[in-house]
Amino acid sequence: MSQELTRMLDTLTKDIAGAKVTLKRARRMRIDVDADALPALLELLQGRGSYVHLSAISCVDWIDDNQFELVYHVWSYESNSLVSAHTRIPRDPGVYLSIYDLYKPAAFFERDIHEMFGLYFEGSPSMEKFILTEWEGPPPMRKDFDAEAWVRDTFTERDYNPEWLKELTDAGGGIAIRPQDIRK
Amino acid sequence: MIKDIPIIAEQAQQPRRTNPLAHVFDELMNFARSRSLFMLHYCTGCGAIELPPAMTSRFDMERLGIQPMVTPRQADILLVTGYVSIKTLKRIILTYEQMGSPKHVIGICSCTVNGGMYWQSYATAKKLDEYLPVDLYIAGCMPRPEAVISGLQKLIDNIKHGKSDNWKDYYQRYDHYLGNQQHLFGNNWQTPTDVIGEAREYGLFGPQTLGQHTELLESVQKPLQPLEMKL
Amino acid sequence: MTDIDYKAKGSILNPLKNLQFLGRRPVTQPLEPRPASANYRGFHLNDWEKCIGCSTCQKVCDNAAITMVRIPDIKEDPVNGIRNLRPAIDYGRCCWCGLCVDICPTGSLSLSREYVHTCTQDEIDSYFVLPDSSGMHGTYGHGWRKTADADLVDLSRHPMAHLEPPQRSDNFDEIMLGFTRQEAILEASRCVQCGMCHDACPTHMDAPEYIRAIWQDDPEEAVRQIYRTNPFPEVCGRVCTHRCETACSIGRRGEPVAIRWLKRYAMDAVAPERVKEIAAESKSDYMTGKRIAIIGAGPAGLTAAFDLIKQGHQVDVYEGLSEAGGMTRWGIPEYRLPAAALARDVDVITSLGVRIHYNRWIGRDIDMATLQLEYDAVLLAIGLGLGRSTRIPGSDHPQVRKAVELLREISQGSVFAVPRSAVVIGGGNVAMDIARSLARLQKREYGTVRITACALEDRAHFLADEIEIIEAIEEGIEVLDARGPQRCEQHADGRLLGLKTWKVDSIFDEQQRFAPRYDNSDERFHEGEMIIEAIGQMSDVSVLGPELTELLEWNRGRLKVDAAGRTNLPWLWAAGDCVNGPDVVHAVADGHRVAASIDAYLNIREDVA
Repeated sequence: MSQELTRMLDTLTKDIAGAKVTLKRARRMRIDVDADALPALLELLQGRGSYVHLSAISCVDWIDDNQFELVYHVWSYESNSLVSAHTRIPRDPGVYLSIYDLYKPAAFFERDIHEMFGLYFEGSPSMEKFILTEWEGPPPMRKDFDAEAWVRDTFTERDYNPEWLKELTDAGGGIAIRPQDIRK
Repeated sequence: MIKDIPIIAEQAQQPRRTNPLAHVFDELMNFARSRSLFMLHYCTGCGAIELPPAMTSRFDMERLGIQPMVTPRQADILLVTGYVSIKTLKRIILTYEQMGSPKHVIGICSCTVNGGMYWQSYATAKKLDEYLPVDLYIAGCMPRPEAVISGLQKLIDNIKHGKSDNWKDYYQRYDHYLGNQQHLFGNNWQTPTDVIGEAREYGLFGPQTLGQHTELLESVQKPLQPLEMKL
Repeated sequence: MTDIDYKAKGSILNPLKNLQFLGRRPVTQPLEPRPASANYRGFHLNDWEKCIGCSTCQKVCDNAAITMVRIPDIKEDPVNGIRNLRPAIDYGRCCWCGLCVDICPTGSLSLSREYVHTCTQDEIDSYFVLPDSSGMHGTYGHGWRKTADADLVDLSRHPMAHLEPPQRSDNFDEIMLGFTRQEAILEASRCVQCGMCHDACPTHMDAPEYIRAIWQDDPEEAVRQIYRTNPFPEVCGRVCTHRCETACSIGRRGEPVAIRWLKRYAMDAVAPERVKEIAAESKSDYMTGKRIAIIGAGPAGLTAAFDLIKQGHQVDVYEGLSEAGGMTRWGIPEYRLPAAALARDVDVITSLGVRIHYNRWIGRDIDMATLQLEYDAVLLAIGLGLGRSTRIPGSDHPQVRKAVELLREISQGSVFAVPRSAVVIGGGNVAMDIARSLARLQKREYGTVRITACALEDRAHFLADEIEIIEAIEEGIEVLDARGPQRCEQHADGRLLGLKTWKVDSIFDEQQRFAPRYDNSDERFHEGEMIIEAIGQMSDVSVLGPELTELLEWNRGRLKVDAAGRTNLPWLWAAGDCVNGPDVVHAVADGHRVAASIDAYLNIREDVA
């Protein structure tokens, strides 16, 4: 079954340059593909491969490689199998094509990724604020956003001063190592 | 940085009470209040999951005269059950300001005290008492229904003895709370409730009701428009 | 399940069924909180007697809920791995996950069955708690504790391949074979990074850092961390007295992390040429023009040389013998420390530019006055090259030898008649070294071992490492405890016959002074063609010459130095075994200390000039 699926996908992706199909588990395939070939691949998967359901689009920030990885998870109700199409795009300028015309739910995921990673999808119906309506800072899921530093600058820690601590401080002891002192 | 405004012990001016039975009335009022508390049915974080058992027959908070209420305007208790995202915090403040006095805020879970396990999250407020006066905290992550019930009993006890009146602090030090809210939500922050006017009305206008933050509020405040009816 | 017939109307009396609930007990619980389950994770408990303040709980806490608080009433004891810190918990952060309990190396932390705490805004400080064994409110008692299943600390050490007694008893091959990469990573993963080892180490090695680097499979970084504080890692990776492992917090309940062997692994894993590059990384890129003479190329002298050359000073080391290393070269047998390993350490030091002049005895080939004239500072690191004598009757016999001298002869490969039987007086590591060395020679020459080691101490208080004693017995040496040497018996023709000993009742008197008392009714005779005294060493201070000896201040036969290792003469320092005893890592620490003092002195002089 799984082998048939891989073979089918291999035939399907024959014409797509650089597409590489790997079987991760039974009924779970991964296809690595170049960024410019991804829409064509999805079109093939949807039209000829029965992968009609877009489960999710996820994004990974590979900051050391200066790349974003986009993963399109598509599901087939006929073969009950999941294909994850992986592609990498340059982190800068971080613009990619929307697949809204292929899969309507993509609007939802693309808007979310735009908000969390700052990636812009050309052709997506809305790149407005979505969940973080109150957020003015940089896209928070990017690896170069230091949430802990932001929290340090925005909030203060509670400054407890219970009786026992006062007594210890008077006796020459008191707080020695704060939790933030040991964090790198 | 959040401004640290020192708390001044000076109380707002109270009207002189001449009725010799005033204290008797007070005690009676407090007793009546403590035996009939409506808790706003509004949940924020994970701690909310402990409320259904606390409300329903197993732990049955109605034994204490507490029952859930669906609108803020008729509620006495605002239960903040866990982490408060900045977005939720706005709604909590709107809700709190619409509740009628006397009103009591309970902070449940670690998160309302010092951030809890979301202490390094960009999305949550860390200390609830910077934005609202809190009457009672219940420790836990999350507290068991028994702990919630114990906390409510303590609140009832405090109300009965007239000790649970931190709500007055919101009026007396409105500038402090507003400053912290503006720090988080930006300078254009405003709510539909006229807190300063209410402070005058209740006789709770204090030296720290007004300040630089309320000045800022007044300079940016837009008059409220009636809501557009849409069908 | 049967389908409900929706057309059935039922009886009008059906609702009366509900009356049955009147007789049932309600499900509602009483208002008082119930006791929690037996392994409930409630508020913290901490047994202060067991807690050592290692701060591992703080490091594991991902909620940043734990603050370490200094308790002035508790005494710090870095040598035994005790800090006067105790964890305080912020319940505005804690999520009761229990990781602190599961990781706690001592098992002092546990959680109680107590779960109710409420407070008003004014009492909010009660959320910050310094738990002790009574807990938050002192109700309900223990809940979640460390169990074998939940323990995150790996208590047993990863074994290292070594030679078994038949393979090792007739040769000087190194016994311990070293960790493989896999073994080293597994052993390093046991470390909880508490840093007790760093505090206990005389030279404060960055053990947590290099263990972490080994765990990350980065031995070069490990070597870099090691060379920050110790230029003798090959030696210390084999024969260090490992104070670190005594203090290791894992050792409270299990076997301490094999810090010494991990250091050796790091050195084994990096090529010697690369080690030289790493050691040279922090070397000054200019020369100061100052010159320093160091007398003695042992660990203390060469450590000081290593530090001083890195500061850009020119260093000349004068060594009386033909090879560097001092006691580590001549006093430690090859099966514990191969000469090649020591040579690699010395090689790194000389590669930085330290010049070692061999076979130059001070007082014979060059005198102190010349050194004083030619150099800006002089460091004495002459070690303890002479053995002490018991001075019992008959100990002046030529076949009564001193351990250090005999060990040196064996290391130098000198030919001497191996005795068929021998008695070693002493129970320290030197006694075991000479006994085991002689045993190897006997096994090689005659095929059998006949050696008796007599220690003053009883078995529980032996000075030698436990493993040394076990291995000595494995190799056929008879180790006797509590035997006081009385007389070396000799035959009328002058042959040595053996040693007569009495049983020891006590070693120290009430004032803790050395004054052994014997039970002369329990007398034994140990046969031996040779008797070796291994009861301590002393310094050969004759090199100083009478004039200098007169000028210097002394303290009970040892040179008197200040805390930085400086004598009463401004140009002369002393370091190592000859002033501070007596192991490699103390010598290294001493070398660093004295080098810092010399460097500071030279910089001040420069400022004045």
